[in-house]
Amino acid sequence: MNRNKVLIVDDESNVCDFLSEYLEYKGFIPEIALSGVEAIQKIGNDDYDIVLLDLIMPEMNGFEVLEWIVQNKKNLPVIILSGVKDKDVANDALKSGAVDFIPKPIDLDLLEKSLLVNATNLK
Amino acid sequence: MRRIARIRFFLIFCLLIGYRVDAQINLWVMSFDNLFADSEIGWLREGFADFIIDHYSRINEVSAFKADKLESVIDKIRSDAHFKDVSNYVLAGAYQRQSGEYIVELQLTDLADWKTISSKTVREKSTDLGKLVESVNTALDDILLSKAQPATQQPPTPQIEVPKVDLARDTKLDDFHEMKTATRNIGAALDQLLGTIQPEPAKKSEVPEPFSKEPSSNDSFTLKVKEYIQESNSFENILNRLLYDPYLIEIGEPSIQRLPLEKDKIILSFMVDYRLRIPILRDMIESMKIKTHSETDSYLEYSFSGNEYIFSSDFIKRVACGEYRFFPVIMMLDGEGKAVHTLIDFPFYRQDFYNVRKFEPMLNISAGPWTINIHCSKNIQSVKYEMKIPLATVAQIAQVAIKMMNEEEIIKLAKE
Repeated sequence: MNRNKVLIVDDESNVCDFLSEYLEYKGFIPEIALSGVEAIQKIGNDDYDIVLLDLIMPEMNGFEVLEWIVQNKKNLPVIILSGVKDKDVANDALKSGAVDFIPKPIDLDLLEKSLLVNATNLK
Repeated sequence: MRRIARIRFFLIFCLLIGYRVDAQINLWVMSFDNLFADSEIGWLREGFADFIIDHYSRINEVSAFKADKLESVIDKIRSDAHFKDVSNYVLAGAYQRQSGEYIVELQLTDLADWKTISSKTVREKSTDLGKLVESVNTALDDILLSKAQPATQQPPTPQIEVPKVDLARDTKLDDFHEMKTATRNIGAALDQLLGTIQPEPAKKSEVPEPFSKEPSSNDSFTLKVKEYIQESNSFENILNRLLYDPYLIEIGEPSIQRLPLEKDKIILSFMVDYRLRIPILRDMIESMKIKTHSETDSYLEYSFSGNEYIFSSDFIKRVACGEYRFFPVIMMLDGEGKAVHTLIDFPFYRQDFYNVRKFEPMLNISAGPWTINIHCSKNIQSVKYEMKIPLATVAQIAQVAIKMMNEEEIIKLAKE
């Protein structure tokens, strides 16, 4: 079975750490990027099956990263993870090309389902 | 009779320091997620973790640890039976501030199967940080203590009231400095003494391992307070936090002397060393805007200008009335935490209390409308306390505690 490679993008290292351990337990191959810039570098250099992307980050925010992905890696699915529990923000993210929007704190069951539905490797 | 008293003391003593109900839950606390990268409350990322760990250091059923790196936590759980055989939960938290309201989200996950045990949201309208921390701790207690199995195999542990960290406290320094080591030494000395009074085959008592003090999170806690200071404008608030716990108190070996003419009484004496937590105080004070600063080998002195801070007349009056001068009150507590003998080291006399006049406050504040001075002694102040106590009272002593109180509190205590 192909294990899905997941890039976690969040400036909060504790969130990345938590998700990384969880995803590993669930059989995914997690990688971490602690900023939007780092995420773009990694995505440019490597192939990922899915990206988990935080919205509020310094320097380059989640929307900017999402825009870059849509323009440069059209088939790479992005799930937005955000503390902003606002319908408009969620709609904006989905309209901008994200495949799902999961509010923080993250419901792990919901995340797993979303990953299994959206990861390119399983499609 | 004496033997009964001795056994009773020994039992209380064992209960206090020997038997600790093994924790049934290990709580691994991660740094909290500052959801909107709110820089003013950025320090709460680590602050919440510290407060929670500090809270559970006083609750037997739960052992809380900082989870800096979850991967190493998981390795530790896998390899160490001590961790493997109990429930291991990871706490992931997130917080934000919206229109003056704090919203803290707590999520507990079982590391055995990564199932979410519970998610809770704590909302606190007040900007009172103490209340917020208390609400977070209560929310966690509700989840965790219901999960912990009732301890059936161990004997019940007597409840001794232990101070809670309360950032919200304005002026009170009502924390007891537990001195369990001293209690053990008093116990040993008493055993020796009673052995000489009533010769009998020396029963080798199963003295528990020396009490090992758990690492206190107080220092890191204070650092967080320091950061808070930088964000506060009220000098009075700053001072109250500065005075949260300025003294390091150490008790020396106690000695017990028999009185040839009073066989039912003994003299118990011990030394107490008082010194200020200078590095922390220095850090905290120097985070404020200082007008002048002087330092020698024996003292540190700072003055603050009214141009930078507002010194209200009420505040100046309270400084002048000694509200910020603290004196030690030494209490001998029985197994239920009730004081069986109290010694007040303060220039005040009341018949019921043993009053000594030895301690000199080492942190002094003087205030005028335009200037506030803070003087911190860098020396160690050693005070020898000596008290004549009935033998029966000594047998009741299970713990010695020192409480630093201001004049008003001491008078109130005396009246009670």
